[in-house]
Amino acid sequence: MSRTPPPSAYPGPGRTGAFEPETGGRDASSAESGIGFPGYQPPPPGDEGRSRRSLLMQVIADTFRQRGARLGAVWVSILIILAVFAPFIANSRPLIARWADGNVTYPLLAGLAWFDWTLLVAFFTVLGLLIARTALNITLGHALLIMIAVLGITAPLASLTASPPALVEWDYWRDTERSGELVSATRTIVPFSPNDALADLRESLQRPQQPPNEQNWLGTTVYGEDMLSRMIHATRVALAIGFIATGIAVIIGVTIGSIMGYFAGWTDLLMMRFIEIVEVIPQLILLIIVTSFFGKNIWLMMITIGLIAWTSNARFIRAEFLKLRRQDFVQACVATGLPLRNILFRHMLPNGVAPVLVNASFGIAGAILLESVLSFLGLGLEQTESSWGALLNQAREGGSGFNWWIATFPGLAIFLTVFAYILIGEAMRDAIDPKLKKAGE
Amino acid sequence: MVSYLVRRILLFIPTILGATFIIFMLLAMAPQSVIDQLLPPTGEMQAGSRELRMAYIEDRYGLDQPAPVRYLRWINNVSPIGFHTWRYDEPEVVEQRRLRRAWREGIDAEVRAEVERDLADQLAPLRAATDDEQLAAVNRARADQLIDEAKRARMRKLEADQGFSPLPGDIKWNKIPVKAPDLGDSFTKSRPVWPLIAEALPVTLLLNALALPLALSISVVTGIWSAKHRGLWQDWGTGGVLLALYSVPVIWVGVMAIGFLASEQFVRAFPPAGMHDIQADAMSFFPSRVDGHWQRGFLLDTLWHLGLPVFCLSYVQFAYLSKLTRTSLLETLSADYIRTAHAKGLAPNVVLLRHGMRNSLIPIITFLASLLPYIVTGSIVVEVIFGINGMGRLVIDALKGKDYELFLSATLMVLMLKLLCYLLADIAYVIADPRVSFSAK
Repeated sequence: MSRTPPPSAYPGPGRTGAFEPETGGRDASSAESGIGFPGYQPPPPGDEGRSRRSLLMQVIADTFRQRGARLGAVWVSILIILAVFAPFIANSRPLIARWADGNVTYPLLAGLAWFDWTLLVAFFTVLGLLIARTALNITLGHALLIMIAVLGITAPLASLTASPPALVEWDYWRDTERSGELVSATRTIVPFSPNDALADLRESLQRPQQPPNEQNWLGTTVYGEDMLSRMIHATRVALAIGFIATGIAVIIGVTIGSIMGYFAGWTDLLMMRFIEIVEVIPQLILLIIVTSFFGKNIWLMMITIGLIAWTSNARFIRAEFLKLRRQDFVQACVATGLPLRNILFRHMLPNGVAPVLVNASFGIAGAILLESVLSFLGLGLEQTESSWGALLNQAREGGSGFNWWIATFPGLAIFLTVFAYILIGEAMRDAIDPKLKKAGE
Repeated sequence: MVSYLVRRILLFIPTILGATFIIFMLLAMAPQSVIDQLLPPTGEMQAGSRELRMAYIEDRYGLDQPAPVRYLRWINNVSPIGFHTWRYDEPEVVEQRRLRRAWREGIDAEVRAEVERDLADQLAPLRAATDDEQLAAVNRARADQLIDEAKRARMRKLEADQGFSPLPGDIKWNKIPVKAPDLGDSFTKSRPVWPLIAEALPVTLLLNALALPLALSISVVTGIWSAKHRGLWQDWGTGGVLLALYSVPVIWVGVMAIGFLASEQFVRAFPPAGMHDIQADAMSFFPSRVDGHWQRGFLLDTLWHLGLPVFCLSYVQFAYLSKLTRTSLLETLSADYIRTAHAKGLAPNVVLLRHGMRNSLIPIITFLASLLPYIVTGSIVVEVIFGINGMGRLVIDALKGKDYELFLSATLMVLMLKLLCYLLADIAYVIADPRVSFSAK
C-alpha cells in the first residue's frame, strides 16, 4: 500500500529504488500493467486510474465492486458504529438531566469508562484520517503511527480522568424521575444498560424473561436484562475478537510463512512439522483449557485464538513465497545486498499477501464463531460481559420452556456477522483469482 | 505408496508428542495445580478417597517432579511401547505405602527434634514473646513453615538412605518394551478411562458416518442442479442460499431446532436430547408389532433421535460441498471430450451425468476426505447441544469437572482420530485420482 508503481508503461526502477516486478515479471502483460502477481490478469487498457494503484488497493477496489461484498461491508459498518456508540445508544443514565433546583448534569458522559473514551477517539481519528487521506497524502505507515500516538495518549489520559461510578445505579434515575427531583431527562434510544435487571418494570410474580414488548423491544434475558441493550453492547466483543485475534494470527502467520517460503529446505521442513502440530490440536479444546484454567478474560481469549489460527496464513504465504523466491526481482534484491527484512516484507510481501487477505476475512468469521461457541458452552466470558453466544446459551439453559426471543435474535446477529465476513471473503477471492471468477460466471 | 504411508505414520509420532506436550504444559502452567484439580473442592465423599487420589497422582506423575518429567511419565503410561509401571492399587504398592507411612510416623518426632535443633537460631526471634497478637500469629505461621520445609527435605534424604524408592510406584524394566497402554482412572466417573472412551467413540463415529454420506448426496444433487442452470436465477439463488447456510452457526441451528421442533411448546416432532429412548433396550431391532401396537424398534428409534444432530452436523459440509461440486462440474464441462460427446449426439443429461459428473467426482471425494478431521472436532458442539454421549461431550465434561486424567486421555483419542482422518484423506486422494502418485519421484 505504501508502494505505488510508477505510472510509466516501460520498465524502470520503482519509487523505492529497487528492482520491482516490472523488470522481472514472468509475462509481458503483467510487466506492462505494473503488477507481478502470478496469474493476475491485467486490467483492460484505458483504465488509467487502476494501473496507478498498488496490487492490494486494486484487489480491495475489485472486491467492493461486487454486490455481496458491499452488503457485507454495510453490515460490518453498522456493527462498528453500534460498538463505538453503544453507551450512547443503550444506557440507563440520561444524556441530559435537568434537576428541580435548576442544575443541569450529563450523567451519561460522567459514566463513560476509559475504554469508551479511547474507542470514541480512535473512531474519530480513523474517520479523520480517511477523509484527509487524499488531501494530505497520508500513507498507511504514517496513518498507523498517528493511530498509535493518538491511542498512546488517549488511553492513559482517559483511564486517569474518567471515573465512572462503580455501581450501575439504574433504579436511582427512575426513582428520582418519579419523585420529581428530576424535572426532565433526555434518554438514549434504548433506555437500559446491559446489566440492568429491570426488576421494577415487572410485576413481582412475573418471570424475569419477558417476550418482546413496548418497553423491551427484543424482550428480556433470563436475568431480566434488556435483550436489545445487551446485544448492542455485545457487538464490541464480536468485533474485537474478530479483528484483534485475526490481526495477531495474520502477523504471526505472515512472519513465519515468509521465513519458511524464503529459506525453504530444512527451515521449511522443521517449521512445517511445527505447523502440523499446532493444526492437529483442536482449536476449541485448546481455547477451553485456557479459559477454564487461566480465567475468563477477553484479551486472553483473543491472544489464544490468534496463537492457534495463524497456521493457514503461514501456509498461504509460504506457498506464495516459494513461487516468488526464484523470480528475478527477488534475486536482484538479494544481489543488491538489501537486508532480509526489506526483501521479505517490502518487496516480496506486497506480491504475495493477497491470499492472506481472503483468509483473514474468513478468519474473522471463524474467530467470531469460536467465541460464540465458547460462550455458548458457558466457558466464555463472565456474565457481566455481553456476548451473543452467552445469550444463546441462556436460551438453552434458561429453563421454563423455550424462550424463542432469547434464541432467535442473538443467533441471527451471529449469523449476519459471519455471513457478512464470508461474503467479503468470497468477493475478495473472486477479485484475486480471475480464473475462479471465470469458472463461476 | 506403502513406503509413503509408512513414512506418514512415522511422522505422526512426533506430531502426537508435540501436540500432547503443548496441552500437558498448558495444564501444568495453570494456576491451580494438578492435585487441586483432582481433589474434590470441599470435604471427602468417602473416607480415604483423598489419600487414594494423592497416592494415585503421586504414582502416575510424581508430585515433586517438574512438569516435563511428569509429561514423560504420562506418555510412558499411555503409550503401548515403554516401561512397565506399578499400579497404585496393586497389593505390593499398597503394602509399601503402608510400610513407608508407618516408618514415617515412627521417626516423625525424632526428625522434628533434629530440625528444631538445626534451626534454633532462626526460630528464636520468631518465638520471642510479643504483645502484638497479630505479629505473634504471623511469626508462629512462619516458624511452622520453616520447620515443615526442613522436615520434608530431611525426610526425603532419610528415605533415600533407607532404601525406599523416591516414589511408591517405581518403574519396572520389562524385557520387551511392549505393554498394555494404561489410560488411567477417571475420578469424576469412578471408572477407568478406557471403557469410557470405548463407549463414547462408536457414538461419535456413528454420528459422522451418518452425516457425511448425507452431506455428500445432497450436495451432489444441488451441485448438478445449479451447474445445469448455470448463470440463471436458479444458480444465483442456490449460490446465495448455500453461502448463507454455510455461515449459519451450528449452535443457533441446534438451539432453534430443539426449541421449535422438539418442545411441547411448539412442535414435538423430535426428541430433545439423547440417543435412545428409555425403553430402547427392550425394543426389537427392526420395527415390529408388539401386543397389537406398532413399535418403532431400536434402529428407527436411534435414527429418530439422531435426526436433528446429524442434520446439524451435515448442513455446513453440505453447503460447502455443493459449491465445490458445481465448480468442479463446470470445469469438467468445459473440457473437449464433453464437446465431443455433445457433437456425437448424446442426450444432454447423459453427457452431464455420465461424462461430466463422473469425472468431477475426484476433487469432491478428496475434499470430502480432507473434511473428515474437521467433522470429528465439529461434533463436539453438536454432542453437547443434543446431549449425546460421544467423544466431544466426554472431553467437555472432563474439563468442566476438572477430571485431568480423563481429559488428557480423551484429547489424545481425538488427536489420534484426527490424524487417522488425515491418513484416510491421503489414501482417498491416491485411490480417487490415478494421476496422483507419491512413490514416483
